Order: sequence, then structure tokens, then C-alpha cells
Amino acid sequence: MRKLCAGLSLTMVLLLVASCAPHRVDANGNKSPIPVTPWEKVLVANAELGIFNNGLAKGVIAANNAGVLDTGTTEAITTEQFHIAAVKNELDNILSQGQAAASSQSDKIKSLTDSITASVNKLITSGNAGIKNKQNAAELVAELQGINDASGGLVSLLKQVGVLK
Amino acid sequence: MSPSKTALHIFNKASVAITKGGTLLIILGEIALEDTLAVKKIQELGPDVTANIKNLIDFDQTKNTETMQLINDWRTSHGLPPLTPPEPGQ
Repeated sequence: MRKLCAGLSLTMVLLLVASCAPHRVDANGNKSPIPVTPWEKVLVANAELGIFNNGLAKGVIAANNAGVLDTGTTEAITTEQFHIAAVKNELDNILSQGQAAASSQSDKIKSLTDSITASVNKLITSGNAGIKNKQNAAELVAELQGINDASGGLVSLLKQVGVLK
Repeated sequence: MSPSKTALHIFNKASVAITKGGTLLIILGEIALEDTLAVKKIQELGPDVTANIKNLIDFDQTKNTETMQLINDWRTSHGLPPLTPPEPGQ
């Protein structure tokens, strides 16, 4: 029980730290007054999604190894995660061309982000159904939420910069 | 099985489950910490915008490739065929 409480407290602290906004630092590592550009914010949100997707894959596989998550559910979750990672690589290829070039491929980006959103929704459903002991797997649920938030954040920022209508 | 042996069997199974649960919790905590530090790191942007953009894209592609590899390694260890990325545009 003590370990569980420690784990849950750690998760809450980590989520609070992770929710800080992107900021610029100068060459000495001190906070810079120059604001972060909207396109940099898009790419930070995109990379955050990659981090949470990777973390969830590690967590789900660890849970399967520990016998907390059955192989069928693990396969269902990781199949969606593989799809997200593959589609994100395709999205990266467009985003790497810059904001103007990305804006001219708005339809393609919409199709890719819709595909990611569909996979995230399937992940939430399979994860919530498959994790039998939600207390022991609280971090997995937090990672699922992290993916959901990061994915929503990415789509929202792409709309703000006018790449998505 | 005698009642004492049954009790011992149940106790052993429960002990294994608790140990596994505790170990999993530690592993998941480590993953959460690793993710948090990675997020914190990418949120700190340097003065060169062009370099930041290239670094963020490179970082994400590396992460995605690592995720796909991790999943396929797990599938292979469970006798499942590896997944392949969809053809671009599909």
C-alpha cells in the first residue's frame, strides 16, 4: 500500500512538472526573453506525443511481463501504438519542410492527424478495458491520458498556426 | 493437497503477485520519470530556431523508430509476426 501511494504521488508530481510550457534559454542555459515561435510549439507537442507513445509501449510490455496485462490486450494496444509511431514518422517528413510547406499539405496532415486520433481513441478503449488492476497500473492510465492530451494538443496547435482548418 | 499445503500454496502465489506488482510499480515509476525528464528537456529551446526545429524532428523520428522496434521485439518474443508501417498516403 505504501508503494502504491508513493507511486501515485510520484505520478502526480511528474505530471505537474511535465505540464510546464516550452520556453527559450540562452547559450548559458538562462531563461531568454525571446518568445518560442508557434511552429516550435507545434514541434514540441509533436515530440511530446512521441515520448508518451514510447513510454506507454514500455509500460504496457512491462505490465504484460508482470502478468498484469494479458497478451491479447497488449497486442491490441501496441498495434495501435505502432500505427501512431509509423504515421508520426510520415507527419514528421511533412513538418520538417517548415510551416509554409506544411500549410500547402493541409489535407494530407488532416488525414494523418485523424488517423492518429482514431488510434488514440482505440487505445483508451482497449487500455481501460484491459488493465484489470487500475491501482497497480495507475501509471499506465496516466500515460494513456498523456497520449490523449498530447494528441489533442498537437491538433489544437496545428489549427492555431493555420495548418489545419 | 492438505489444508496446510493449500494455505502455503495460496500464500506463495499471493507473495509472487505482490512482488510482481511492486516491481511493476517501480518499473512504471521509472518510465514516468524518464518521460518527464525527456519532456522537460525538449521544452527547453535554444536560441537557434532552425536548429531547434531540426532537433525536435530528429528526436521524434528516433523515438518513433524506437517504439516500433520495441513493439516488434515483443511480438517476435510472443511468436507474433512483426508489424510494418503503412505505405505513405494509406
